[in-house]
Amino acid sequence: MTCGKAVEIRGLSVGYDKRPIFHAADLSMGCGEFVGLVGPNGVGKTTLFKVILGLLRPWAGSVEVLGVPMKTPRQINQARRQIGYLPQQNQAGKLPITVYDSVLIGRWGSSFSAFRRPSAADKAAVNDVLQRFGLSPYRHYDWRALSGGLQQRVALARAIVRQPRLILMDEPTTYLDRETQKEIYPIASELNRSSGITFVIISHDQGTLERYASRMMMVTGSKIEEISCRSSPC
Amino acid sequence: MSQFSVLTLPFMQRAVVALVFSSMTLSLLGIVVLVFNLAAVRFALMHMGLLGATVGLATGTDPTMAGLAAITGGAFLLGPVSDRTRLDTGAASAFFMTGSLAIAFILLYKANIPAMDAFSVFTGSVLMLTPTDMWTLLLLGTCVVLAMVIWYWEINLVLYNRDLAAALGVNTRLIYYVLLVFLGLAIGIAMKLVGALMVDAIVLLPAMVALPLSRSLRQALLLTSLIGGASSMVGIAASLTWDWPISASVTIAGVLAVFVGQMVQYVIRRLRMQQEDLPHASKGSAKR
Repeated sequence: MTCGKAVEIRGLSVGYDKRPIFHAADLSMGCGEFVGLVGPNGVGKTTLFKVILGLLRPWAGSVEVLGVPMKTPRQINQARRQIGYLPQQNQAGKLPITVYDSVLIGRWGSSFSAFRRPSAADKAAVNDVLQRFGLSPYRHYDWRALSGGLQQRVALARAIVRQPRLILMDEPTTYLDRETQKEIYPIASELNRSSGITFVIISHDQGTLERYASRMMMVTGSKIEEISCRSSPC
Repeated sequence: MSQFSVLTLPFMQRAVVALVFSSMTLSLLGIVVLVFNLAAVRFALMHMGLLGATVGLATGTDPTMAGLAAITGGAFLLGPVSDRTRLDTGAASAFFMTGSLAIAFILLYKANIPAMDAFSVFTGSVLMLTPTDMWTLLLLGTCVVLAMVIWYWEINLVLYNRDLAAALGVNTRLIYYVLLVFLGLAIGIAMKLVGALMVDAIVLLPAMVALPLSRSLRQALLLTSLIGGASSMVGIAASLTWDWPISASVTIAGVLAVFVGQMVQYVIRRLRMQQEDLPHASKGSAKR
């Protein structure tokens, strides 16, 4: 499948209730890019992800994800099937869930759902990803008992098992110690290079992210601005 | 004649079936309460039950049915009100709890109703169950189990991470609201079975034991159901053997199950600390 733009946003205005977060904002990301997204707290970085995921409808403007206009529920679902998403790990894990199941749920909506149980192909895909991420020895472990670094590796495996063309990571290193933080970006960077998956990563750690990102963007004052670019063309 | 010969009496058979079945099915909702931290919701719904009972007494309708209707209505309203007002469900519960209590007291005063008549909705007796009550309970329990089976992966996702579930396309709001309504109905039914003060014995205690001991939602559901059923049976047996009130016996059995569960967890943690061989992870569910 050809891919011109991973994300194409034109004249986006969106917010909560009547409070605008973005006003006439534009954003364009090519396929295969590794984009770092920075900005102060509460400025709208996660909101931008919600728009890309079709969870928040724009007040004005157009949004296209992987060439699909995000207008109808069918189009939104079509785009979502190709997106891997790692939300902020701000929920204290109370639910017991094995590493295996935690990765398997990443296939929900793309190949199984309420009345379609996980197939043999789903299970084979999970086994393959667990192997690739070195998680096979932990497959029956409770996710809650893993270290922060392993939990993030599981989250990335869950995104990958969906076979996405775009991965959105929301502050993946926030609750990790310094040493473990260093593991996450290289894994993402390697996946970006080897599989051509587009990565968009929100982080407060601009310095570290800049080392891996082909483009850095900043969300500020209801706009999205490019602050550096190493890819070509920018 | 042994103490257990009372089990041949129809009202006693209904009581046993109702207690064991509700402990095995309605207890599954305890997992939802614990994971979403919905403890306050239970109290809000109970107080709405009090308001319903008061309205029932004031209007001459059955206070128990009116209480149940109010609980169900409250469960329907809680989710949407919480979403619209952007309050978390706990805060919305406080709003409902205090509001319904205040209105109930004004009604009690104005309609000259003895407060104890309204508070009678808080006291239940499993021995007074009618066949209709029992069939209603069986229907609700079956619906809860069916929802857990059919929506297993969706519920798994919503309980694991609501943001992730929504991003994957799960209708998180629908599932959350349905679970809240089931919880409301379960609390209403459990109040009729064991009284409001012991609702937790049926809805919460089994899940409190099972969650820390489980490694997956599937395990947690099975374990909760087994522990719920077992503590009910032990409670009923204790009640018959020592002539204790049946609700209190079932509750004591549930409390003992929590105690035993904590002991088992402690032993497992100690054993794992001794046998730990993986540097970054521990198998099972030891708390971090």
